[in-house]
Amino acid sequence: MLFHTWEFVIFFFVSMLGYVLLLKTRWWMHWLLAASYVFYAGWNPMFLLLIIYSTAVDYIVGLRLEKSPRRKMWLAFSLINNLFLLGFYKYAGFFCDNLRTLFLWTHIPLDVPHPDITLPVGISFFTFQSMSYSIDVYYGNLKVEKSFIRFAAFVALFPQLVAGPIERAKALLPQLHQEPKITARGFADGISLFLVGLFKKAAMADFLSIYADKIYDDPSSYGSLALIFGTYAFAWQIYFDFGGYTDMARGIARIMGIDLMLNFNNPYTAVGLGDFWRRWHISLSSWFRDYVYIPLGGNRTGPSYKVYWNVALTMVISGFWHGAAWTFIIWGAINALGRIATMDIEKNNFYKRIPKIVKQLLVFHFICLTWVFFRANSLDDALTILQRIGGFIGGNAEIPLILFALIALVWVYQLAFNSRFKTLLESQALRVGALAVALTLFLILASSGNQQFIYFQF
Amino acid sequence: MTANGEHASAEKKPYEEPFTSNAIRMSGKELIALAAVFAALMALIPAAWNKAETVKTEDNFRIAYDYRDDYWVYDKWATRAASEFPAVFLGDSVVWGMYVDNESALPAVLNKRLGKMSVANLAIDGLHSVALDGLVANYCGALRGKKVLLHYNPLWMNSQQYDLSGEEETSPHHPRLLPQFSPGLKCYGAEFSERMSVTLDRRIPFVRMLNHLRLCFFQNKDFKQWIVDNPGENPLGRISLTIDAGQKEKINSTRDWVASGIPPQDWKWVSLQDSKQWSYFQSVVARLQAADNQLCVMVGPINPHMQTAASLAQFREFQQEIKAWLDARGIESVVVPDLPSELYADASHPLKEGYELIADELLKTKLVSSLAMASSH
Repeated sequence: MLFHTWEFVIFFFVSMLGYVLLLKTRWWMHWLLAASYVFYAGWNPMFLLLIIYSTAVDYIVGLRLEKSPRRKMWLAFSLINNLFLLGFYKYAGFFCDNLRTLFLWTHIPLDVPHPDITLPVGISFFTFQSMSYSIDVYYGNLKVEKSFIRFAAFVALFPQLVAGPIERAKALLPQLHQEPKITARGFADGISLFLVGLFKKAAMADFLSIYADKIYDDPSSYGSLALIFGTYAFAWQIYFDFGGYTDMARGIARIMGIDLMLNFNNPYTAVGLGDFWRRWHISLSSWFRDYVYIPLGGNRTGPSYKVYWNVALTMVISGFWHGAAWTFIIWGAINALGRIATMDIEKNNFYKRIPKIVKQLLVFHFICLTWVFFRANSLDDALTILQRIGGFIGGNAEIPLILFALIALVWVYQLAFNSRFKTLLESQALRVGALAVALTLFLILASSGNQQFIYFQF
Repeated sequence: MTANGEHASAEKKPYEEPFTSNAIRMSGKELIALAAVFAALMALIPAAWNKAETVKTEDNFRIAYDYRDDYWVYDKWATRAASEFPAVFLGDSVVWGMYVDNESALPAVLNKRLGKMSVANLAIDGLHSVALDGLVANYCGALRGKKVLLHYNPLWMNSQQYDLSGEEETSPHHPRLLPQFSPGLKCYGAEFSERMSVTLDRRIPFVRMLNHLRLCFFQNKDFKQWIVDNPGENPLGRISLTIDAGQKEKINSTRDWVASGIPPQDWKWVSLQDSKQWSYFQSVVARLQAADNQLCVMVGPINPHMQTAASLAQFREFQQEIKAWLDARGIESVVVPDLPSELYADASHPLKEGYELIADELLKTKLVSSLAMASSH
């Protein structure tokens, strides 16, 4: 059930009706959980068992962590359980394929078949959310949740269940301890977020995907310019797709009186790679920072090579989280290299004196380089794309000017929003007019077939 | 208030600042203003477009085969026909004139006999009764107090598949005219979102206008897809305010059905009691009568030579039932008599000379003869 479908509109209307009616009773949480499970069952009812199992294990682990003397063992149990689920459903195929290749190389006469496993939607998100609870309880940063229903609602909360933001128990569970307040302000905020998200997803991301897919599905047929613009298209597509989804998720939650964290903060206006990762998929970046990078020692581990190692490991794991393919691992590794290479440069006075717009363009283009590996259908394709871009191969780029004019408009808006021209955007008439035009464009551009969100596959 | 609409005095929430990535935060009042502006755009743009755009017509105009799914154009033509012609003819490709040119289609033959442009051809290809009901309900609002010749083609009842009374999923003609949420039409298996999109098309003129533009100027492609497929072209440059939506020439040339070598067939007629097509036709009649239209129903033609004796006997039986139902309601009707075998192009479409004979029958009706009288005056 995608947010921008009629099925969801009806689902949300019915669940909101029950939610509002039950809010003054002790049943509102039960209703919220039931609605979340119905939402998830819309993809595959069988996977409900999986989410219930994962929830039950971490709930019990939480209770054990409070009283058991073998706390470390219980934490390990939670981590292993979640990572096993993730490993089995998401990475089994990747490991089997690589094992088979290895056996072929080493002439070991063993055949490893590719396991036919369906990836449960959102597994990367809910397992990480659930793990963060166990870790926080273990370190004493969070009180144990005694109510199974509340804990299950935290893990499965439908606005953010399938593609985040990956909420921390510290931020979300306390909100579920009290009856959420449905206010006019929250409702207006929610609608605003939802409408902007809808425009980003259905008008922009789905539009860009047509061009990006066309170029990336047959890269050897295109010249340098087409491949560059195809990469630009994908860079904005993934931002509008995931950013739009998050806006909608936050909007839906806010209508329900629940605050979800900001996940994207104008990432393509970042002036450094560190800045970029503080703005892009914030809930995941901060998860890796808090539960991988800092436990590894973070940037306080002494010699700089240790810090670099911590950055590299965190980023490669983050790449692997995004998908079971070498392209994602390389994507993570290139990001790590970039981050390591610029960590000291960014502190340098010379770098600080570079005009902001130049830094923004440099960061954007570096990120675009990494997106080549993220989007390419294979490692060979990624290398072909880079070779052809570098080879200055001519040919008709077939650039849809309207599409890139729309991107330019959004980019200028973002720049203006973060500059002294911000006051120009304060006019009520301008904002109402802009949103009315955006909605009209949405109606014009929204296709009859709704496309999946990119991050659902992770 | 700040640029993204935040109130400085608002309570600070954990994730309040910044509100979101380049989003626009609206207050309740601003949302109401937005709804008003948006509603105005949705109403004014199609209204202005409708006024500015003209459909080019000529004598004996009929909507081109390629425009048969453009209900915006149909609506415009129906509105114009209702104001310019004393009578209109509603029906499927038999009335539209599948195998004949514009001047030989049934409404054109009637006009020739009447000596004046009296009957507008409002038929479109593939318009079975279930779709006709949707067409009349949603795109024929202008048909009020008119003389309406209405075609009922029993051929749509010659199998459960065409009758739409079966349970097996089929791809009916004019799916956008079908009732979208009727539990009775089990064979129509569109996705929920598709059904909603059809409903929006009917209710929101802006959406209908977009579908019309897409069909007319953008090869019926999604706008996004078209822009990517035609990167050098200006989409606005393709749009014209004059629509040439008339059929230019014969859609198909054919000889009589015998030449095609089809043997007589045993059709599995659906009974009137079980027929969806008949039941929706009754609804069409009720709708047109409720709008004070004077009706004359033409039943058939059906090629009797193409059927086995058993099939024909069954057909004759319910042909009489249809006639009786219409008579009982005081609705004038013509059951098209059997034409010579060589005047049928297929199971129901006549050839040019066949239309001449049918026109003779129609001229005997009160409704058409009143048009003749009006012409002579």
